[in-house]
Amino acid sequence: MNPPLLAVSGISVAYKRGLSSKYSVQAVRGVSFSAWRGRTLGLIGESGSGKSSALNAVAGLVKPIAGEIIFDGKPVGKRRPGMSMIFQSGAIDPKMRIADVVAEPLRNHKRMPAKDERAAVIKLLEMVGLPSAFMERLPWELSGGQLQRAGIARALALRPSLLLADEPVTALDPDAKEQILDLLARLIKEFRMACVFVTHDLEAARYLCDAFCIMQNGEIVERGGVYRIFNEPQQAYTKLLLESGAVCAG
Amino acid sequence: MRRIILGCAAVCAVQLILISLLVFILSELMPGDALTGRISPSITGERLREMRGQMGFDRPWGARYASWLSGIFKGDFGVSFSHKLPVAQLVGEKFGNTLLLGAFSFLICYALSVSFGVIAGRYRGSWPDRAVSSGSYALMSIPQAVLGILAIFIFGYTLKWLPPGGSVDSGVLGPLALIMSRLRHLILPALTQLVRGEVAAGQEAEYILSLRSRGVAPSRVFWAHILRNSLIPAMSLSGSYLAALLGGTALVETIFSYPGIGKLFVDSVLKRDYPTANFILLLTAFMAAAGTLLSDIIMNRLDPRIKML
Amino acid sequence: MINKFLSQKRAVFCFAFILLLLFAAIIGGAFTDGASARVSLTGRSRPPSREHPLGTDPSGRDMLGQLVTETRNSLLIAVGITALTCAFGTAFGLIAGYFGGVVDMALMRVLDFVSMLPRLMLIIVFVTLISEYGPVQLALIMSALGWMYDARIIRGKALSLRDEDFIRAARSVGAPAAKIIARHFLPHLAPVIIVNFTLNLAGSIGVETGLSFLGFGLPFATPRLGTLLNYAYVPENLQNRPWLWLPAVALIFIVMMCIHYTGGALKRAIND
Repeated sequence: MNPPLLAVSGISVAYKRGLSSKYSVQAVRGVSFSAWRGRTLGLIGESGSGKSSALNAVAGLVKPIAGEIIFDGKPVGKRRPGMSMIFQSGAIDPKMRIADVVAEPLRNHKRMPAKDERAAVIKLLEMVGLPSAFMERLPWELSGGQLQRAGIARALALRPSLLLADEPVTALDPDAKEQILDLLARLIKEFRMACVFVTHDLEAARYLCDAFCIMQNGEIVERGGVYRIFNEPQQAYTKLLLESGAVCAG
Repeated sequence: MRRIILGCAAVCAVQLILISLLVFILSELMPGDALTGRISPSITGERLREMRGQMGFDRPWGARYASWLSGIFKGDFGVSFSHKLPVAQLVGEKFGNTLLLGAFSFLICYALSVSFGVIAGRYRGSWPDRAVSSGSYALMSIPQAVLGILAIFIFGYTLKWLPPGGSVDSGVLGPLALIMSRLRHLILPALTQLVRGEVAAGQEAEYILSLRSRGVAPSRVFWAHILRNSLIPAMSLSGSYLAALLGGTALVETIFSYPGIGKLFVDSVLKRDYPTANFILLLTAFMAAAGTLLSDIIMNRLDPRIKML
Repeated sequence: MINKFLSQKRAVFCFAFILLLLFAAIIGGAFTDGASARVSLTGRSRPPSREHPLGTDPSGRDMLGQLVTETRNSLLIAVGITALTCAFGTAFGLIAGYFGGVVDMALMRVLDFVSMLPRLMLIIVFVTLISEYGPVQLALIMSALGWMYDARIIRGKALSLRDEDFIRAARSVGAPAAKIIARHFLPHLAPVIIVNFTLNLAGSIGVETGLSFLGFGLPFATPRLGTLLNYAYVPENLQNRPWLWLPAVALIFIVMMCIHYTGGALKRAIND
């Protein structure tokens, strides 16, 4: 069994309000999970379960108060090349043109001559199925699905080995949802990326993920492969989720 | 409650110390010191240095600051250069006048602005609202100096309603012109807009709608709920408005030749009477700090959403 | 957004008026500079006549010329002061708003402290203390005590912008703080910055006028509208010679109203 690309152990995340820790909220308590290349791990839970916070910690958006994050055999530093994140609704600056949005990671890391940058952007858009004509468009001209594709293109710009996905299809209509999930599955296989997929949508998770971690109140209550979770859920909470999620097992 | 007061007071104390440092530094920068006004100009060179040494002027600044500060606590603020009187006495005489002016302005201002603001907010969109808004806009635009001059001209000379200047001795009417211009410019428009905004927003608030739908009489809804919530921000800011009021005294008092500390300040600076000017600066800053402290406490108390510390 | 602004006719009129005024003042200054400075001992404090459409001042100088020169000086100085104030205030607010947390709290304490200081008094003191005193020093001291309004507003907006998804995305992609602020925050805050500028302009003119009136403005060599107001200080002038100060008062009033109207219209254009 080859070593995981990402190994998270015992991380805790807390949000403080004001100077004293009197009003702090602990979103994540001692959570551990791992992700392998070419495989997708799902972090499933309701709102407030801490799944997004855990993902933020891995991405470096928030500093965990405890625990370790090992990426590619080394503890993560401040800059985390090799990881990329996609968000709900694409997370695109409404005032930027699509070309600039997708090129932003490139501009952050090296200066490319305009021609090369343009070629790179076109290639990225191609990968996600957007025609190059979209380069000059503004976000309000795109549909939800198209925006999300742009977001994915941006995430691929620096050829990441780990893709972090925070509810990427939750806000999309069923058609777009399917298309994006397909796209993600394809890209993950094509680029042999590891993926951590956060959602409360069990249907979507089942489609994309190989393994699950069920989270509740900041802790992981159950983990396992897709088949086992859906057919032999052990914990009460998991069963509850499955029932309310209106998902058929098998 | 006590925690809130202590917390705010602690912050205030730090601010007071910083203010005193600032004023001290300024006073060090000012030419001349306690000796300048008191000794004859013929004493120079060696003798002067000796005298300075005796009075302790060549100690390091830390020691000088400490003794200046202790002087303040004991009530010794130095002697005015031009008037040859202790500064405390000089300022004390005029302080009352300024306070009177400030208090009057504050009260009238609040009465007017709350009334106007409420009217504007209640009848939002229709003519009273527009009239009030334009009016406060106009008043906000005029610099104090200009408004003051206009006020004197119109009310003092042309209409001869009110005497143009002088002290409180000429009766309450004297300062009235000045109060009018003062509060009008500085605070009335800002406060009016604030109250109006809050009242208007309050009307839209969801819980208000729920009350209405339950059939509670509109006027009761208004007075009991909207009014109370709208006035909270206005009240909490009143501390800083008080501070602003005191700070802007200089200009208005000078225009109207009103014998308050503002005018005294300007005169002192013009006459290079630094001890007096310095002290007034310190006093005003202190009062501003006190005003802010007050509004901080009120804000913390009234609005449970704010957690200061 | 520009359309919304243009639809408010009164504001557009005001804006155009100010531009026109600035233009006229600068151009007119070329014509009147020589003439207005000519002192005449015989023609002192004369009421308006055909030769001097606005009369003459106590030194015999032509009032109209004075007015033109002073308007130009006032406006230019005010713009300079406002530019400095806005630059500093915006930077301060951006830093506080972007970093949030402890940085924000610390910066806010500083802001609260400076807000408390008696502004006019301190300016007066500084003005008296500084030996070589010119427009630059005035601009610096006025900015030092006037940036707080900008900073507060920008900070508020920056704090709310911070929570937006696309800012999270930008951070996740590895953009350094400076780039995020420049690329994402500034375009979103641009309208607010512009509105602040107009309001600050009005405020600067107001404070500067008050200063000049008291006699603490720039030396008489560079006349400003405030110096004209100074004449009104003398009761004799106030009562009997309105031509000395009334035009200045009227002009100041109109200019300020226009600026305020423009600013208010801009604000409304942004918020809708």
